[in-house]
Amino acid sequence: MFRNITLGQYYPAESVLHALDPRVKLFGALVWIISIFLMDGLFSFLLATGFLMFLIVISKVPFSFMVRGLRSIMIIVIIASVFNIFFTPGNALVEVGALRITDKGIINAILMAIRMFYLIIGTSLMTLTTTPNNLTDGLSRSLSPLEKLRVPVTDIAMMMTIALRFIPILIEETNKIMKAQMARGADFDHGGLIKKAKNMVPLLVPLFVSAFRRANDLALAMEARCYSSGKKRTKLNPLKYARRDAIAYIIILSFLTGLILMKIFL
Amino acid sequence: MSFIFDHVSYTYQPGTTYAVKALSDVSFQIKDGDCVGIIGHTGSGKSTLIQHMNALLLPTEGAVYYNGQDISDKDFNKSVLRSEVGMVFQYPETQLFEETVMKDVCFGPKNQGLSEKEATLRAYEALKMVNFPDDSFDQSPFSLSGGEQRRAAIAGVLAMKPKTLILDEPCAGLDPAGRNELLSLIRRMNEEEGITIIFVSHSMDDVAETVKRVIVMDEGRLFMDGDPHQVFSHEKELEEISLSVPPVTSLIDRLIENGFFKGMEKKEGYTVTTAKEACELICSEISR
Repeated sequence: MFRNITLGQYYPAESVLHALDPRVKLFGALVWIISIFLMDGLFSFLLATGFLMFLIVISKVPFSFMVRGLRSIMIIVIIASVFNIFFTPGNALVEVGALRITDKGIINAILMAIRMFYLIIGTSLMTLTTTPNNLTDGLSRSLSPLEKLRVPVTDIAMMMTIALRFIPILIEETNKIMKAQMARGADFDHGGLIKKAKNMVPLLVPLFVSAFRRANDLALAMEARCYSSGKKRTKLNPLKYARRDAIAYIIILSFLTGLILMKIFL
Repeated sequence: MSFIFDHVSYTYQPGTTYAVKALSDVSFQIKDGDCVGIIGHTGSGKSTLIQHMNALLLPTEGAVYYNGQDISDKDFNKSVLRSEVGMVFQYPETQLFEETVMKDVCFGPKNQGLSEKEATLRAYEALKMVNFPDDSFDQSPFSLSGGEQRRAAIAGVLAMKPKTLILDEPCAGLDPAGRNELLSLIRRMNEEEGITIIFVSHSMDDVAETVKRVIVMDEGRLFMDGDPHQVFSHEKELEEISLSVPPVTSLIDRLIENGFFKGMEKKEGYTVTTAKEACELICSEISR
């Protein structure tokens, strides 16, 4: 049942992007977010678009799969665009009462929409090609310098790993309890807001009970295997950079440099 | 005539990389008053199959008919189906949620639209039926022992007075006494109240002791369907799909192979399936 939900929407495939070290992909995502705010001319847009298309092609993730993620942010984009169209000062093209549509407003709105879409597609490329576990692994390694400042990075990483692992388990559990209560005639779809919230009680109470029970069991199992926090932990498969990671760093950095040069000289 | 499965196939997440075909081309009928056991190893499609009987899943291909109506039809009344077909899921105690056992058992009948009074009466009857201790009716279900929780949860389904009762591994995790009690309750409901029973289990013993018909599933297909005596006489075929026959069947078959019970050669398509039958056979052999 828990195949129903793909967390962080990981899409299994064999591609260069999937094989890259998660640290490279995290860095790449960071650079991508910065570059979205760097691009303002036609050429930098073209460069970024080309780069993004290149990544989409080599990721071997079907484009339709990525677009699916865009649907949910459509409303935000539309609202943001509408505000941009009406509230940007500039040369008025149309004027109806207090509402003014300006040339700058239209350009801004379009830029805004494109930026948002690029942001979502770029970052979801990372989550689509990296398993959640790999991602936490990469994150904890990238943040490991913070350990010198007494930030418990490994503990935080462990918490994240457990949380991620529990999501599919809890989804499966939710499905199961929901079906059991539906078989007893519970109705989760109809009624007003208050009725709906009330109807959730037969689902939420058992879910919480089982979540606490599972957490207890897990804590016991970890303790039985001598887990203790704050100790230096080693990994079965430690992250190791390969040649492709170096090449990827070079590509990412040259992309960033290109954008910065365009910003200065164009 | 209560259930007809007509070339039913079911695929989880069709059209994605996560697509899994759980049922393929399954056809059979279940009549009113039947007592059917469904066996098969893990992942053979048992759970998927029974969820079709409660319209919790709808077939991706083929059709399921309940009393002549297609459950996939838009105007099919699922709430009628669900109040007539009770479903006891695996580890049903995970569905308990109310403050007291009584209130929890009332949940189903109340959803059927019964009044507070009627629901309480139904709940009382159901709790009595599963031999739930009287003095625990007003306790929190979470303070009970595992076996009592299981009984309370089963009562929660029985209180809806289903015409068909589906039980998915109801004995898992019960002690021998609890198991015997539950199996005899299931038999009683079938024989005395005429409730159609569909009983999913991994334990061949439980199935042999309880049901009158066995359906064997393998990799989403219907592998065998018949009387337990007949199904369990195919020991080799069952072993090939990593199932077994009840130990007592295996014992008697070995004894016959080694020359015991001379009078009765191993009959084609019949075998002993329960300890009681084996006992009768051995006694008649000795007294002969």
